[in-house]
Amino acid sequence: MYEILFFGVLIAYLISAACFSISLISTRTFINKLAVFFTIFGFITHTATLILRTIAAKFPPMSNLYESMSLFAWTIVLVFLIVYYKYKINIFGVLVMLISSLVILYASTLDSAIRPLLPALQSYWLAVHVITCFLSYACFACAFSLGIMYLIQERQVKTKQLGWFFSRMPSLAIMDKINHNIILVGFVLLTAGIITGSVWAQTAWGNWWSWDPKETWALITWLIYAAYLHARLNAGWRGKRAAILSIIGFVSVLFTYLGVGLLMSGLHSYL
Amino acid sequence: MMNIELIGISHKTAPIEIRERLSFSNGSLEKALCLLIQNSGIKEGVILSTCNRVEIYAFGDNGCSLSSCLTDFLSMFHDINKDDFQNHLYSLRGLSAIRHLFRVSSSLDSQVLGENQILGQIKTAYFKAKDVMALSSQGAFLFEEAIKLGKRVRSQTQIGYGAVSISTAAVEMTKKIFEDLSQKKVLIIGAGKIGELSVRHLYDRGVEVVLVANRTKARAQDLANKFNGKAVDFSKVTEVLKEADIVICSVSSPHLLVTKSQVVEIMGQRKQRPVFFIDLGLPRNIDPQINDLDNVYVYNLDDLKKVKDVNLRERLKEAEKIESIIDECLHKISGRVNNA
Repeated sequence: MYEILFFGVLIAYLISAACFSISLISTRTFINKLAVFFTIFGFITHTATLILRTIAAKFPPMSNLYESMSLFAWTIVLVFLIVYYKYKINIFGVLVMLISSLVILYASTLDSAIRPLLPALQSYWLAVHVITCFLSYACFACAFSLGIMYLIQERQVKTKQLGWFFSRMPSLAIMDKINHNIILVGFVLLTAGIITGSVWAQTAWGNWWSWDPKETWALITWLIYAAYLHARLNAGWRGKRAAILSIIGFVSVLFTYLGVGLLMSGLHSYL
Repeated sequence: MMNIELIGISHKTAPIEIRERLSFSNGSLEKALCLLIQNSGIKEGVILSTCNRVEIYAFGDNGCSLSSCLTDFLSMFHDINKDDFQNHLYSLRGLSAIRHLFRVSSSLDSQVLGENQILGQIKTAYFKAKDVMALSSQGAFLFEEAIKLGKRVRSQTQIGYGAVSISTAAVEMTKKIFEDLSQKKVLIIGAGKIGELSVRHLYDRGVEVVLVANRTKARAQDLANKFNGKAVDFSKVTEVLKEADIVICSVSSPHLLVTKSQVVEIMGQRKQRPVFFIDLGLPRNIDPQINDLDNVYVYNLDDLKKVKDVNLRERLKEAEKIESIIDECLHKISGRVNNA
């Protein structure tokens, strides 16, 4: 049952990405509605798989790479739906739903067996810490997509090569604005994620901070986005520079999330 | 069986001198329609008279030709010798007449491909004819089909998409850079025609302040009044430049009006808030290298023309789709039309 539902999520996200792509060509609003329907349908099914797994394992599904990948995709789609509710940008839907599909696809190649929860993770802090961190990652993933879109559109406006994409992309101002807002939210969440992690570490190990590689990289990521927000506020780093920073920031997020776990060992090695 | 014929002149076949002499004013249309259907053989009629075309559609009994009758009617009504306009006239019957009507209603025959006005004009002509009982079953059916088709192609294709004039292309680019124009300031330097037209479009889309600078102060004030704006002394342009989000320039000046170093300084003061320069001057008023700066965009006449041409090409592609939609529609009703 769980496997079927999980596969259904993948299919729904892929169909949604396809529908968002078709809606760039077609003038029919029906395709657009279909894309939104499949996104929401996939998201609800996805939520159901997370709940089913929580019931089966008796703890929230965030204790290994497979589970965290699924959670990552879920938070990305959640953040996307919130942004899409306000700004109906179909091309953004194409990018984000493709990324989510890829994450799910990767997750489905991983070991999905439920194993007993490590004693170190048996705490209410687990859910709070992991969810805030992943919501911030999801914000940064969406900002990354918008950053790429911004750079493409900016290039087209600058070089005056107004191709097929030009008319289908939103305005520069709107992409810059969403990018900024979403990073602001992501930054607050990441801060909260680092603090909750630190508090948890204090209660579990008696140490607020132990320079574990994941902690260090989370701090580096935090600094990059702090620099982004600072430069934007004070030096007027908007537009192209802001878009580039949002891309660099997400590379750092990916390294914090995946690179550290794959390349280094530390306190977060179960992920 | 439907027996339809039409005669007409349009921007494609006749100069404005002839079109204006043959056009029907709103007031004379009712009278003309009544006279038209008094002709023996003509049962129903519609007159479509716009600034680009005058067309008379007539529905009659099978087997008799209406076109000479229509020409006579046109000549008589406007009191013009037939020979004066006959060379400019086109006359179509049966399916080709219907195809023409469908192409007109879907704006394929318009001067600006994909423009929206013609559909409204056809609707008006249709209601006018209906009001004076000049239309009954056959003609009404056909015109309703034409109006339906006009609506359909506008919603199902992108025939009306994208700006196809210089001034609307300028507005399209402005929207692609700023999105919301409601709090934007426009500075217009010099008072050219395209410049004024561009400001008019921007003003209609809600820009907040319009500043006008012109060498002749009176002209500046005149233009400013039109847009609820402010006239600025020409010597003070550099001072207000940093306030403006959109700068439209059309001054005949041998040297550059805005330089790169000037803009670098301004951008610092503006905290990098974007600026869009629209350079309509010839020779150019704005250093083209300014376009290399972050958050600054410079479009000159040629660039805007390119935007317009790209859009027009897109519309031409859409027009092909519409031609096949029309083929489909014609196929459906071909059984009901006398095409002999």
